[in-house]
Amino acid sequence: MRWRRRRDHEAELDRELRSDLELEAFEQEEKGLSPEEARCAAKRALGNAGLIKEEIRAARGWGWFDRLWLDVVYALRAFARAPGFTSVVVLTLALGIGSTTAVFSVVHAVLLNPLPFPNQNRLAIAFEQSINRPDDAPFADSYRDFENWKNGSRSFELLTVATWSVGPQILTGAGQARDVLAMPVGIDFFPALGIAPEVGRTFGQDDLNAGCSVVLKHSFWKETFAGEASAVGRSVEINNEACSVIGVMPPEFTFYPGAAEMWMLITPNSPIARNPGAPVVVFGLLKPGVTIRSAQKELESLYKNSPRSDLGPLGQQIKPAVYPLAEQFARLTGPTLRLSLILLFGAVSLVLLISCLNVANLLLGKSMFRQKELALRAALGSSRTRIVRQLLTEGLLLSVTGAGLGVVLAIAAVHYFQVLNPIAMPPGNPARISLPVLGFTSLLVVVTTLLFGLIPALKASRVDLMEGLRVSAQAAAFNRAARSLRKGLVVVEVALSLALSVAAGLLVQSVQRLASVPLGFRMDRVSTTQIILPGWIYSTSEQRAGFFRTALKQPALASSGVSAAFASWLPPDGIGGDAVAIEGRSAERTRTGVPDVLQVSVSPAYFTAMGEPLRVGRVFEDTDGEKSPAVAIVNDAFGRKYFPKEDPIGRRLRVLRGRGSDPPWLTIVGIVGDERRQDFFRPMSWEEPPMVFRPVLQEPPARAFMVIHVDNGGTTLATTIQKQIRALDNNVVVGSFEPLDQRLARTLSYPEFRAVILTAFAVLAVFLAAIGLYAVLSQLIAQRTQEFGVRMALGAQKNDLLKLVLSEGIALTSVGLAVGLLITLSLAGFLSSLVYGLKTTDPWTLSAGSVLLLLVALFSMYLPALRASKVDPKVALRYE
Amino acid sequence: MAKKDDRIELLQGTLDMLILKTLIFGPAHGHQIGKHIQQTTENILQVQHGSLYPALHRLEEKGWVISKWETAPDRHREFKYYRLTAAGRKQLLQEESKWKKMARAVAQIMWPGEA
Repeated sequence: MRWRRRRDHEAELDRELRSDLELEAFEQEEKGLSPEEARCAAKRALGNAGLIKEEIRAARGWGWFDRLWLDVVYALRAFARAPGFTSVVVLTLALGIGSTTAVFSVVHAVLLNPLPFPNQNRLAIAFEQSINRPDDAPFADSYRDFENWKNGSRSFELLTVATWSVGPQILTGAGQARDVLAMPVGIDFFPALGIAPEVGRTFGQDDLNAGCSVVLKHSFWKETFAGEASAVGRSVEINNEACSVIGVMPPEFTFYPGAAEMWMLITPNSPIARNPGAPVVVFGLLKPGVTIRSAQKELESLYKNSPRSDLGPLGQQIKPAVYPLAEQFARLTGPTLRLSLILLFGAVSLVLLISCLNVANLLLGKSMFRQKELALRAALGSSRTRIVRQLLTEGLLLSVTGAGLGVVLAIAAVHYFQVLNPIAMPPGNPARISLPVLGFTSLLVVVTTLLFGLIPALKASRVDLMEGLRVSAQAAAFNRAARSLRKGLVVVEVALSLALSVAAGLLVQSVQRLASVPLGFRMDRVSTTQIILPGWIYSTSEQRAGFFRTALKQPALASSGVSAAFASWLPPDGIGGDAVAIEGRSAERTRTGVPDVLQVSVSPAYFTAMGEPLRVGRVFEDTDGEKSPAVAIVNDAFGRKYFPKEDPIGRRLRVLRGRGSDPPWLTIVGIVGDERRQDFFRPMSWEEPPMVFRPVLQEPPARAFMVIHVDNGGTTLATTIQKQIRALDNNVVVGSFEPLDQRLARTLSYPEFRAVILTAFAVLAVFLAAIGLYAVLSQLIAQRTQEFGVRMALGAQKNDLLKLVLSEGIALTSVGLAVGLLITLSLAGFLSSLVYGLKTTDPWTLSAGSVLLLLVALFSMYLPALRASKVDPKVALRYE
Repeated sequence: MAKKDDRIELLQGTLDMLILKTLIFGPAHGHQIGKHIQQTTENILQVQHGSLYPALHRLEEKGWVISKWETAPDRHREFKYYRLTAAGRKQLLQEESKWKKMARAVAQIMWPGEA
């Protein structure tokens, strides 16, 4: 439309001026001039028609468009003349902007806009926290807390409850029995999140008095009910109880943990509601204007009035801790996820900064050669702003092209991130290149253009006409200033690259050390699976023990070269949380201490299968059954802590769990080596918890792992065992076997991911810095060719010139390294929680990083230096 | 024709007022407007095309004049005629009063007795 109007106006303008010209000529002719003379006189009177039109366009407000168009066309022509330069710049920007966009898309999805719920900023979650040890991870509330807070709190519009600490849940009636997470939630769960169901309805008051009712996740509905609306009103069987389906959530609805496949209403009859100490999390929708801090204060005073009684004296030492729900999904999924993302975003920002510096450097180098052109333009009347605008237009074109390419790179990167799924991502909004992310990219375009475009533009626009137009433009004072600026840019690039390389080096070594710690058990040829006993069949300890006894007698388990065992907990998961009492000591000493003992039920072959050494005494035997004396095996860590000076064998202990009936006294019959395990909330460390092993027949769990170690590494046995155990009882859930090292690899996935990505960024940074150094030195030599010629003519040897260039490059690099070391040391503290087994100021890593950068720098100096030494004085002296 | 030295450069903004005043007598095309100003002031005010046409377009952009291609009564061809709008009339009155005030003020200083 605009174009159309523009063209009409142009034609009209021409016509108007032409008619004036003709009229003037006509009048002059009437005065007696010849037609030829009259036309000339008229033209003189009119003056410069082009200028008039330009001014009219300016008056009409079209001027900026004309100039922009001219600048764009001019810039495109300039780019076409230097395709090599242009593609280097565009690629550099594409890498910088692309990787920043990709990382930002994850940061946006996980940290900035994580919850797919309206009112996500008013959702708050309450955990509980130790008052004396505020650095410990917050833990679950009790159901009694929820009831108290629900009655007393005025901060929340809706306060509700949910829990993922559930006993075994087995889904039957839909093919093979399998375990399922039907997350128990309070009645206001869905209203607080503000999401309506896609089919059916969510929980209502009437459901509280009815039996079990569930709302399905969309994917479960699709798989089990083929997405039919008639699913509502039917039922699913969970733990042998029919739960009526009352609704289905839309596909994008998800909550922590992502594994939940349905949500089950907590009614007054639910086991959770009847157990005041049941672990739950309380969360809700804050009233508008209520802050987290005031909600925290309110819950604290409510808690003080009625502290938890189920924890004994420990109940006095904790307090509620309220957080925005938005940040908790990330913490619960991966405690280091937030910090990792901030680290990677910082790193990628540095890479982008280096890209910009590099492009600024290249443009600056180019503008040295454009001095004459710019001086000519200034001489012909271009104003300084006009020249700056021209150069910025060129810059904008470069970064828009780079960003376009970068977005394509980012889309590919995010796609591969989703496909490869290298780390567990929190439920909620998925990472993708969305509109806000593209908005961020546009912002990057503007910022980068200003960063890399403005420095050269301002520098170049300060043109000295006399100097610029003189033939030997290279001698201009401008170039000296620009050269030192370019050197400064290279110094910064080297410094930032060093910081990134050192950080990457620290993380890579941390992963290696974390992975190479001897864990106290073997991982090769060990595979594991989970077995869940349905509670409605195996409700008593005798029934469960019966199952394990039968299972252990299966022929496949007794094959030669095979050790197979059950265990209630497998490393690396699980840390201690139980207190113990030692016979003959006052209970107080152990009860009020920090409960840190891990109790695990194992069958006799466990220690053989896991390759754990027996220090003293004996391991369990088949005779350690329900009716034999209660026995226990402890590990070295337990001995160190509870029997530092005595022999534990023969002593008796009891493990105190909750406040139930008095547990039996257990006689210690053996001591085994330690297992390293990992606290989920402290992933960059290994712990050796004090452990108490019990015979699986004396303390039979409802959920157990099966461990098999096959001497020849065969895998067919696993399938046989799976079949034989399934055949025992079709309602028992038997998973598929997985190598133990795969389980372990999962615990390393975050540190590995961080290390890999950071290394990639560091390599990119070093590479860009090398290019920057190379470009500066080559152009420096090109400008000093004449000087080198003179030097050679005066007797300088090739080596002297080589040394001259190298020393220049080494000086730049050294300054960069020094600055980089300062930056690294000042930022090192930030990394401390992500590093394992070495200090963040590890001198070896720092020196290795510096040496690496120095080598890369030498390599990039080599070619320019060689070129300098090959200068032919005869050619060089004529060189202009 | 006045001698070169007698010609006066127009003050900023004055040209707009002169154009508007010229159009009070009826629509005119650019050439006529220029000639009118020049002849009325006995060639003392020379209106350059380089100022006249941009000024006309500026006035049109502001809505003080409108333009239309019309056939001239004495010649058999079309010219772009400019015509004063109501807003232009109002603007002219304002400019005039401003100009009068300024002229009086200048006069009070230059010829104290006379005013």
